[in-house]
Amino acid sequence: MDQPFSRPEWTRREILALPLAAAVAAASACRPRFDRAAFTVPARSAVGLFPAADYRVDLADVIYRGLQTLRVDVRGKRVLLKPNLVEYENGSCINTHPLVVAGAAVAMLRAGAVSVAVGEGPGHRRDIEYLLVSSGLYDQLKELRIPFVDLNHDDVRPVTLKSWFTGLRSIVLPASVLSADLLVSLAKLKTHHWAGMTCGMKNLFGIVPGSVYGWPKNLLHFRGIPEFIVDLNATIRPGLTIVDAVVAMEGDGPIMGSPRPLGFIAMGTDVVAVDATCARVIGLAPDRLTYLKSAAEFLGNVDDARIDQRGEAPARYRTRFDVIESMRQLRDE
Amino acid sequence: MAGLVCMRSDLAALLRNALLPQRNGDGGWGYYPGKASRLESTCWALLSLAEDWLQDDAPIVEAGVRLLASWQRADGLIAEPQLPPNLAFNGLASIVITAVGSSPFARPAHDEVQRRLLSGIVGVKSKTLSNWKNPFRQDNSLVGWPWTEDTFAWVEPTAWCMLALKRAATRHPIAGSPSRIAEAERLLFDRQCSGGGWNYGNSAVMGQQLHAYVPPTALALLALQDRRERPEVRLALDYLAGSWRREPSGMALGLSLLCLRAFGLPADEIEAALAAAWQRSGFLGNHSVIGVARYALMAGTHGSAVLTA
Repeated sequence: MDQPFSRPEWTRREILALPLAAAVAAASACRPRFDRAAFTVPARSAVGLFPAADYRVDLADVIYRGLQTLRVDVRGKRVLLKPNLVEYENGSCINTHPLVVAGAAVAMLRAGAVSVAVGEGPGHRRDIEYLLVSSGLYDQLKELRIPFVDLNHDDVRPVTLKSWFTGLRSIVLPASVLSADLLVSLAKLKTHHWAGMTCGMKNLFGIVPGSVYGWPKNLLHFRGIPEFIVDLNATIRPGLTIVDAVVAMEGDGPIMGSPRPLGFIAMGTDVVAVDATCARVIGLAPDRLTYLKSAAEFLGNVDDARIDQRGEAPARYRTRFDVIESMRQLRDE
Repeated sequence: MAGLVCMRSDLAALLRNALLPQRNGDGGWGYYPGKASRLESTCWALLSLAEDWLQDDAPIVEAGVRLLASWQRADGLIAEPQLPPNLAFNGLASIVITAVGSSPFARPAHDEVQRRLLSGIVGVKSKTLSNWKNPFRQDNSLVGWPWTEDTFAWVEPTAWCMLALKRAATRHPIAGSPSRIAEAERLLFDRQCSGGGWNYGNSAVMGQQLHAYVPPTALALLALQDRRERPEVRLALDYLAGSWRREPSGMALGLSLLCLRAFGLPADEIEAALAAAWQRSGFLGNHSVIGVARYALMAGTHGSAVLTA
């Protein structure tokens, strides 16, 4: 297995070998970004949009029925729910709502999961105790006796990347993520001022351990945010995606944007198809989002014709989100 | 006052009892019970115990420093097995060794670990970026310290490394250190948020002013203790004094307590908030945070504490 990091120490021999290294670098630039034989895009992907007018509805029931509709079997599985917990701002809609997290946990247990934990590793704030307590998630989890895993400070293991859009060969990831039977990307639907949109795929950035990569997770930003989103999702495939679009965020997301009530929970086992559906709902063209366009090549379905809609038709929720100037080209018009 | 001292010693004892049984066989602490030893959590645990100067703790402190030394690479930086060196925690490790050096636990061998560590820290420079088409307000040409090598400078690693070099300057003068400190100070002032504090390191993005956070503000101020005449420092102190109540976590309260005390400002109220936070969440069991809180309570027990001298 590759060492995740090695510090370059140039010896005389290596300096003399530089022309050869340049040739190798040129060859690697032509290296494929993924091994097509290692991936299978499903023939069809089901995505469900389930109504939830506000956070007072029985979200555990909504999500439980979603599991049944999509025929997701969690029986006997150790489930890790990965919400989007980024920052706390009173009255804002930055994070996956604590009631959605609690609802998902209850639904998983009701559906037969052997255990459920919630894990997150925020990329800006190190202070997870502050985020948990202030957001209200701490009280929700305490009441339900659901354990929380601080993914920024978990034990870590090296992992070989399964695609190479960043040029990295390996990274280190939290042991709790690697040992879960089912990783659920429990995302928030928001516009994003660097990536265009954050939903199921971008949410996985939070599994990368800050104690190794820092705050923000700078090495990975240097390698390209869309590229890393793809490499991460190719390597750690979330078995299920649940999106909090009860109240989404438009404008200058993922933190400074404005709340936009949409009134649904999106679910699906193909994270690419879930993200593509959510993008269409908010008026963005999936094939203009760099990471979705790349993911469509080998990870999942973006093409509308290969996505089976369950629950409500997307047309019911379709709208046009406000986006910042530099993201206007992502609109589907 | 007697009640405060009693609460302080009771809480310090509780935190000590939470830390000691969780020490791993290799002499270090993981971030959480049952986890592998990590640099940051080991450093905070050691710092909080070293402040007691209890002779019974001598083998614990010695084993901890020995673990740090065992992780030291040829270039002087400390890196956990199979991981890159984290520069912020290397700065913290240097401060631990400085603290141990002024305690009864000092050993001659620690000096060599420290000298090599400081040389390693001075040897790492953050990447710089062109300021052309810069979507941020800051000057991206300034050099500080990154979290990991070959990346950009951020507030916390820059503050920790600067503080380490400042604290060790008398005993371990390192070539190149003064100019690195001077530029790092410029970087911190450059990254200050409009409200006076600091966040992780971007004060504005795409014309939007970003909010400051309590922990990096307290840390940056600790690193700038010797610049208290600067108006930016006074502005940051005002921010911290008015904001610590909004972030009532063990980490934020512990660092605020340390920082305000270092500047001679009233902070007794924070001790009560720290006790309340411990009662509410047990700091989630995070050994780093437990160490921060305990060190903040104990700092200066035996004279000038290394972080607040």
